[in-house]
Amino acid sequence: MKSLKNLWERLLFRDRGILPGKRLLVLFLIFSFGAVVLAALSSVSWTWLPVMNGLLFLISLLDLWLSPKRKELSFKRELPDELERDMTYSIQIEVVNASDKSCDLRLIDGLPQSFRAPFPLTGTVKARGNSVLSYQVQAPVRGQYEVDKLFIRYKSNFGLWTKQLTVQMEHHVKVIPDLTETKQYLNSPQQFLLYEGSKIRKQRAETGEFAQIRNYVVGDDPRKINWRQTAKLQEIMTNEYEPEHGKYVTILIDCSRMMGAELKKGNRLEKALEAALTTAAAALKNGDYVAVLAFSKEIQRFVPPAKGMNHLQQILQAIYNVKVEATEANYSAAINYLSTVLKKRSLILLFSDVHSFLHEESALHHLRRLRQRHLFMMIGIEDEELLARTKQALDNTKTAMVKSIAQQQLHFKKREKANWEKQGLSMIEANEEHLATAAVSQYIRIMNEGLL
Amino acid sequence: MQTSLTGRRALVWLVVVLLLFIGISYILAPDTPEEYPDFVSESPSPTGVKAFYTYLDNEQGSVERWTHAPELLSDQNDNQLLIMAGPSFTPDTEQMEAYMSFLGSGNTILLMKTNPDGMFNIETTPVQGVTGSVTTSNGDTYQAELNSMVRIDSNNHDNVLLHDNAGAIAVERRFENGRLITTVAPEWITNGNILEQDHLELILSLIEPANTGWDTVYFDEYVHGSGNAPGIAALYPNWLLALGLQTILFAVIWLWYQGKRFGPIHEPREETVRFSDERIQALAAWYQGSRRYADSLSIQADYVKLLMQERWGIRYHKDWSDVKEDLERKVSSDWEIETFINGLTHVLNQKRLSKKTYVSWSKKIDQLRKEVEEG
Repeated sequence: MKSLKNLWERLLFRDRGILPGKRLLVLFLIFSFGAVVLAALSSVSWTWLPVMNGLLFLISLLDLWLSPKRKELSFKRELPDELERDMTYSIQIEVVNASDKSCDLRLIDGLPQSFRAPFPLTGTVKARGNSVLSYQVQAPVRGQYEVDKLFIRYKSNFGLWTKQLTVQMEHHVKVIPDLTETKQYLNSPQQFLLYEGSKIRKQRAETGEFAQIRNYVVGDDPRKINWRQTAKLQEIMTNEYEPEHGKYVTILIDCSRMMGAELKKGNRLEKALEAALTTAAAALKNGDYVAVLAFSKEIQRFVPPAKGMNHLQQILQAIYNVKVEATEANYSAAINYLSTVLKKRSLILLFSDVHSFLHEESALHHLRRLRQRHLFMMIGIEDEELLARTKQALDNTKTAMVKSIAQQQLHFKKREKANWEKQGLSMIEANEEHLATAAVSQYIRIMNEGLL
Repeated sequence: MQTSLTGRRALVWLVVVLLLFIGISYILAPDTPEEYPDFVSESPSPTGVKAFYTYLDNEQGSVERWTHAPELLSDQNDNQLLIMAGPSFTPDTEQMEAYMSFLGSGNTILLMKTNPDGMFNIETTPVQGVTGSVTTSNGDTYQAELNSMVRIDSNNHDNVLLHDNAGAIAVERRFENGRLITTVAPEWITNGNILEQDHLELILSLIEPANTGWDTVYFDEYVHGSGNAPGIAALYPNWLLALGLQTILFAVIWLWYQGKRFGPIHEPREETVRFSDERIQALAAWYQGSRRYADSLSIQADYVKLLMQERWGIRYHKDWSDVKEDLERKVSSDWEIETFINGLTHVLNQKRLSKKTYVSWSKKIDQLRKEVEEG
């Protein structure tokens, strides 16, 4: 069957071959009109018309023969190895024309199906010259992709025919999560945390290790004035402390069914990944150790704890390709796994769906044990859909039912959340746009308060 | 690389097996009898006219087959007879003129055709009620098979040779010096029928009486050759044919221009989207299916109680009847708390509710919810 398909493709000269140009169509129309008029006015013999048609084609083929050869064109594609999801990138294709005729090109790059780019690309390459064509591409779905073929069509000298060729150029592209928020954080943490900015300054006076001596400003704790330096410099100086470094932060990412729910932009898993990476970046920048675990029914990825900004790259490479699984999350398995691999006391941040987490009964039991050694916190994305459903207008039985069920779920969630918090397990829900900010500020709060 | 190699090998085997199959079927297939067209003078089949041809050949000697175009028939008065038995097509105008000129120079044509309408300006009329008895011009009666459903319209100049109760079966018409004998019964001359009934006598009566000895008798085989029929091209003017050809060629180029693949093959795939409300939709459908209206109402009432606790500090565990006073203080004045709470407790105590009461009470509770959340 496959060989038959190949034969058929070969018969049709797929991705290769020639095709008539628009000008040939116009020329042929004019010729046909003339031939019909001639046939109407005078009686011509029957061999005449086919011969004239044949001649027309032969002459047009001359144009094809004189156009640049396929071998005289060469192509080179410049493509970044990593594309961030939904970001726009410019991809360059360099075309070198070795022939002594200029040629008009049209290109289609063999990008994966999910990529978005405006094709075909048009351009002209001068005789014995080169030119760079570029196009904008967006990749909305994370994953590892292969870009290989480049499809090219170019016109003959008079545009009667078009030649087609395909160039094989293999590139491997990774589509990684959107790192805008991570970069924003790394550039200016204060700016990034403006949304919840007050929390960053809340710091218990005696915690942390000595960082530096600086000028006293209004609002600083007068108990921290460094009198020795003040006397030396004739200026009021104060000691500054910062939280201890070298703490352990473990980020758990749930990849189960409910994390596939669509949000305004992307789905829950995308948001959770972005927030996880930003939190990891924040922790690594502070000099902490970061470990990452992605799980659904089973453990999917685990990055053991390490520190330094290089580790962010390692984390990214490990988790960029995680997909939403069709199964339910197995929290117990993830917690059990963690308790075997984590040797030191650690902050455990779980990104998951609050509802499925609350419905899991065995998780509470495991978490109680985990809490004895580690600090646990769960971060979920607020379900705006549910909130809207509890308030929607009702006009028939169906909407009334949906509404009452939404209210029941919300009620259940509030009750369970209170119950969990009573046990000392904190759980926050953040708006989808502010998930990363909320996660980072929670992390900073915990570090500042010296809870670890 | 390996797949293409195995594919090629498979192809070779396929060809070999096919050839073998064709060879075996050629050897094993039984000899089928040779097929002849109708009214061919070489055909020994029941539909052929070889019998009559051979008879004339033996009797007359100078019998030949005419396989050329009628333009080549001699224009001399050579006392020739051309038998056109069951022509398979109607010759075009030029050929008709050639036949006419053959007639005009004093020769004879015997045209045997079930419906000769359109040849030699002969006209026919459809008839019904055929008896099978044929009368000659002399008044003698013969028995014959007649399949034709038409009879020849004879005018005054025509000499009706044979007729039956329905009309003229054979007519003699003069063309200048020659004669055209037309009959609507070609089946008489076939091998299978010639000796049946009085067919042979009737045929001989058609060609014999005028002339007992022909110099040459031709059997027209030209009109049996399918390749000699005028093509469909003769029907249409030249310009239309040229237009047709050019249109076909243009369509081919245009399809080529339009249909050539450019770019990668994208296979259509299914996109799945998961919405976060799938859980509540499923639960709601289940509640609705099992008509748990009372349960749904109590959920709504509970939720409002929870909201009241959050907003107004009214204790959640209090009964509805106990919160009347608290409510009266909080809710705007135009609200009839008394009737509302009495009705609600009544409805909540019922096990089965109608759809209508359910929707109306849901609306009432929702109003209170709005009051609590927004007011």
